[in-house]
Amino acid sequence: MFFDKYSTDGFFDEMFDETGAVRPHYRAILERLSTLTEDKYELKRQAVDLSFLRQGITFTVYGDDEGTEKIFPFDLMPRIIPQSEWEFLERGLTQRIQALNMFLKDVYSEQRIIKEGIIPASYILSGKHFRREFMNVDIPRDIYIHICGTDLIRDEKGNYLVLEDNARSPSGVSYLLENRQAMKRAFPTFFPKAGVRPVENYSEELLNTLQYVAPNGKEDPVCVLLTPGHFNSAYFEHCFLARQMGIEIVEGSDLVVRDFKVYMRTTQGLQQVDVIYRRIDDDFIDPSVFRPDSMLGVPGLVNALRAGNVNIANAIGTGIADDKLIYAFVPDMIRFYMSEEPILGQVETFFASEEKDFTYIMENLDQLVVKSANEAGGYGMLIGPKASKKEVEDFRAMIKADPRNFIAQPPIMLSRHPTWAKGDFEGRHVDLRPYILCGEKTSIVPGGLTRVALNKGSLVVNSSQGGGSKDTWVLYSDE
Amino acid sequence: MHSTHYRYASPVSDSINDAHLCPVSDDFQQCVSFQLDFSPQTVNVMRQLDFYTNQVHHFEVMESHQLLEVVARSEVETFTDQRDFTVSCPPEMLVGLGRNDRYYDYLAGSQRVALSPMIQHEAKEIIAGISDVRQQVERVMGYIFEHFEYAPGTTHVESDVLHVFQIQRGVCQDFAHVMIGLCRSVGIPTRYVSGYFYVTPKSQSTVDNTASHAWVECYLPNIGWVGYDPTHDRRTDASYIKVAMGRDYVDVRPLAGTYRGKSTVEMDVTVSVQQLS
Repeated sequence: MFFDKYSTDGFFDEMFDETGAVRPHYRAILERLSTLTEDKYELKRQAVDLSFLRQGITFTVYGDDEGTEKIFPFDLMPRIIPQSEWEFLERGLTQRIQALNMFLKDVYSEQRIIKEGIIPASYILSGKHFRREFMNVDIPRDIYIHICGTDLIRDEKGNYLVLEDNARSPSGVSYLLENRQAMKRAFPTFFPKAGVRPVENYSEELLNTLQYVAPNGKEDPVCVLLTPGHFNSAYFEHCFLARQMGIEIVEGSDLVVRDFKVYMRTTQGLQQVDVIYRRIDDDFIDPSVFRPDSMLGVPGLVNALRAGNVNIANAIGTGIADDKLIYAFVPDMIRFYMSEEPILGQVETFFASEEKDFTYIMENLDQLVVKSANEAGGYGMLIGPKASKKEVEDFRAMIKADPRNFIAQPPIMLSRHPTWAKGDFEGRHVDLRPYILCGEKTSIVPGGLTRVALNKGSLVVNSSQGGGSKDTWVLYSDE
Repeated sequence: MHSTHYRYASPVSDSINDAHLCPVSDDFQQCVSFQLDFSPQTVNVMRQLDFYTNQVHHFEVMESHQLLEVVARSEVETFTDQRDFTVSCPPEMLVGLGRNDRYYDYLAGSQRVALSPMIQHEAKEIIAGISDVRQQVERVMGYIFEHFEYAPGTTHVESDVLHVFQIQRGVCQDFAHVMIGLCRSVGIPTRYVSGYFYVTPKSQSTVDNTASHAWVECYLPNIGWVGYDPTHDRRTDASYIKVAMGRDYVDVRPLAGTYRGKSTVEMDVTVSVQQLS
């Protein structure tokens, strides 16, 4: 029998409470698993892995010599969220994305939040992703972040906390959709009875969002997905989403700008493009404005945006909203712009650029998690309690050299979830990335991508650093 | 008049550019008229204010061309600065300006002006013993004028401040960058100004005969932003015409852009300033 030796080891466990009793919303899956033998489970697992490989659902690890394409390890044991918990998350995430969009509108126009002393000007102006070139550009419907992938974690009491807002070009949603397909195939009779809310309409909602933000409310706008190309780690996802939405996938060289309008080269000549879902970073999107050495972008695209002849999702400059320094001010933004109290909590943050915090960070470096302010994907991060003396000292030097670029947070004991580990289930740390779409209304695909740190004891869930994923079920009810 | 000719060895197309050529209007000068002409004439232009409230003309030339000509004609009225420069400028009044959105960009390092311990050390030595910001700034300017040699051809438009510091030579753009680096590293907000310098036909300027010029503006407590020209070791006056300002040269390049095509390019710039009355 599975779970005989399972221990929560004092962590918050998604499936079992502190007394070791199974939580109500996991009862059904536990019953189903108890009818399986280890061999049968192993067979299902291998079948799923093989199908991922066959379909080419892979990602790229940068700086690894062993070929660039890997499959994203998938754990068959689903993460389950009861209805009432999900409704709470939806309210909290909706509030947060609204505040972030209001912040971006403000910071690229009036800058009231600076003038009224809520956020120091220096934090904004020193942000690597604050785009001076994009000041006072009118954005259709004032939506800057159309697609957001917010990372949530749970602390030792089970409270949900926002860890970071990925407001640039969040990836991973294709895994969410593919994981669901895999689960349906692995449990063809159980799944339909489990009362799980569907995720399949994500692509349709994404297309609705893109169409809604077309310049001047244009009807039936032409939307395209702009990819950096097949060397990008998320190229599989770009193809997947474009196909699901039924829109063209293009590279920079497929688009041209004429008269401050963007056109796509087609076999029938040039066709005007209204909305671009871009999966290229700001730095590379227009060599005439940003990095002149970029071969990936579209020269003149930013002028077309300024002229209001095209729109892009997400807007340019949204990176300032997920700068890890600015993150610390999101609760203040919610109060400032919406006169509401934040629904979701977040992690306490210390600034290396502030003298008082700097001293605290230096004295407690081996007890803190240190993050580079503008990196993503788990790169540029120190987990003090798990790091070697040398790593700690290396970070100390880096922080001293460039304090603005670092923040520190107390380590959060992420919640754990039963995860398959050679023959039985063991607790592994997980997080959750829901995908939020901001168009005519804010819609969040029920669930999200649950990432799991497959290495025992590890707190890093990023796919590039030994993480895997799980299907995430949001139930119609609480059981 | 500021005219720029690009001559390409072979045809290019899809040329997308930003022009910072329209003089500013502020308390000390008024841009009376401005006209921008292009050849080829099939050009799309869009005018906007940039982050530093300079006028920018974004333009694109999509057709194939081998010659691009951009001619800016402006008529500017300049006024004498009537402010009192004898008031004291205590350095304490600069404390904390780095948190203010109006000064932050002019105190932090920028693309061409990286602040380094070496430059800071130098700046501290230069102003040692001087406790008035205006006098500090004038000392820094004097230091550059005395120690740096005006030598066209020793640097190029891409040169950064460290390189200039090492060779102690350069042109007005480099001197402005050096002054920015020295002043910012001791906490004096300083910005880069590009523009024109009117030389009366009679005066024999020993250096820099071209009218296209660059200098800086420093923020002095109790006075405000004041123009200083380290190339000529003087405060700017009504013979200076300000076109654009920013953190450094990169923000105010008169013409900057990209084009499609593999070609070498020759550029000619002629600037002439005439006194109208």
